[in-house]
Amino acid sequence: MKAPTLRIWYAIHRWTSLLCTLNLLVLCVTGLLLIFHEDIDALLGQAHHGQVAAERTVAVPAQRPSLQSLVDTAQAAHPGQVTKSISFADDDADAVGVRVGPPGEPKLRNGTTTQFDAATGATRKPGPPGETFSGFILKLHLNLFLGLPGQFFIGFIGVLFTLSLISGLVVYAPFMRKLAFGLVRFGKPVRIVQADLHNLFGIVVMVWALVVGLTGTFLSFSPLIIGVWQKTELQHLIATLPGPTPPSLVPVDRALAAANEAVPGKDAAFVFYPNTEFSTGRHYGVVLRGHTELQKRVYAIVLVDAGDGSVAAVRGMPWYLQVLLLSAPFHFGDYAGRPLQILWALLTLITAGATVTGFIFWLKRPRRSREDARSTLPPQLSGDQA
Amino acid sequence: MKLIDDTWPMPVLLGVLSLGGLAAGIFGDGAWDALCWVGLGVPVGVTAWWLWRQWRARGAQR
Repeated sequence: MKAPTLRIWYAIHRWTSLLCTLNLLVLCVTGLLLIFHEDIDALLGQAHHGQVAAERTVAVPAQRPSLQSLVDTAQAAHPGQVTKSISFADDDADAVGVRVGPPGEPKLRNGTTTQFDAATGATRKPGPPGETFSGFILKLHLNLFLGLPGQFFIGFIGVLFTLSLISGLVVYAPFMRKLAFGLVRFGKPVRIVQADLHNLFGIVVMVWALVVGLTGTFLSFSPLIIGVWQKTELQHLIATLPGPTPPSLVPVDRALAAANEAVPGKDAAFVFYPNTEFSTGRHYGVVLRGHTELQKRVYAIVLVDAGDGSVAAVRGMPWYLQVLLLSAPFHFGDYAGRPLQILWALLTLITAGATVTGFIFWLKRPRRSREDARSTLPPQLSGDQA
Repeated sequence: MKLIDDTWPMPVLLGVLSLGGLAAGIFGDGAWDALCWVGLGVPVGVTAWWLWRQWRARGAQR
């Protein structure tokens, strides 16, 4: 690599890294805690729901109650509100949530969810009141308590972090030209030791950090990405499947059965009611998912006519939504048991180590006026002074 | 202390292991998860081992 090119890459690495250092450390510390959020919740007595069967106090009837009866119960408990969506847990067939909200409001976030035991039709106790500790840490990680703008800011930090990693990879080879992999010259001046540690930590976590950084960036921008789908594919569906909202909706069980028949072998994930942000004015938007770790992140979207229960359209997901859904496990590290959680934590610590050692390396940089005094530095370390 | 002569073999090896490990866990449970742990465990292990080895040897070099 020519010297001027190298100098540019060094500059990119230095400035993208410095700009995200502080935030990256916050993300590392909060992320480290969030890996174990379930354990922390349990430890603090702030655990969310366990398996429905474990908390059940009434006998399971021979006949499973209809979904529609759960919806009716939720609506009766919230007079004046209408049903917006139903969600099904992917790890518990008996856990079903029914969300109601004000009539004429398409946004799901302006609603309340009632949790049901789908085997008995009984409502479940609401979760612990107030904010949990891990909820607090999650907000700090997700948006620095600054809502959506904060979330996009974190996404921007993710972009900087990715640039820092790529530029770090580019300057790694020239830096290491005369050095063995992983060489750490303990006992030498601070700057040499920090540089050696930075190179070791940085190159070891490179691939993992790229994956976690990119998936995190993608997740940060998820509201925009989902918005793209709503403004293109969903708009197209709404335009091609016009029709008034029927005066009375067919029972949601019928819509689900029709969807299951159209796409067999998958489970219900969500049902979005007509006139919400994820459906048309006339159709139930039924989202189905598969069973395996991978397949449960591949959704099929079935639009069912709410007037007569017929299937109007079956759609897959566009690639960008598929990438978004697949980003989650690769950011959270929650897909291969306790050992992966521990490895995820250790890799987070190594990433934090690379961040700190890189920062110290920069702090200890020789000042121009004292450059002569520091000329004993090996030539490999001199590149960043350019 | 020369451990490996060339710059890239080790980083590429660790990178491929990381990527393979990251991917393996999503394909299934059991053996797939074990592959995942090995793939991501090796880079962590290498870091710890290299650090420890050189930390222990630091006195001898002085």
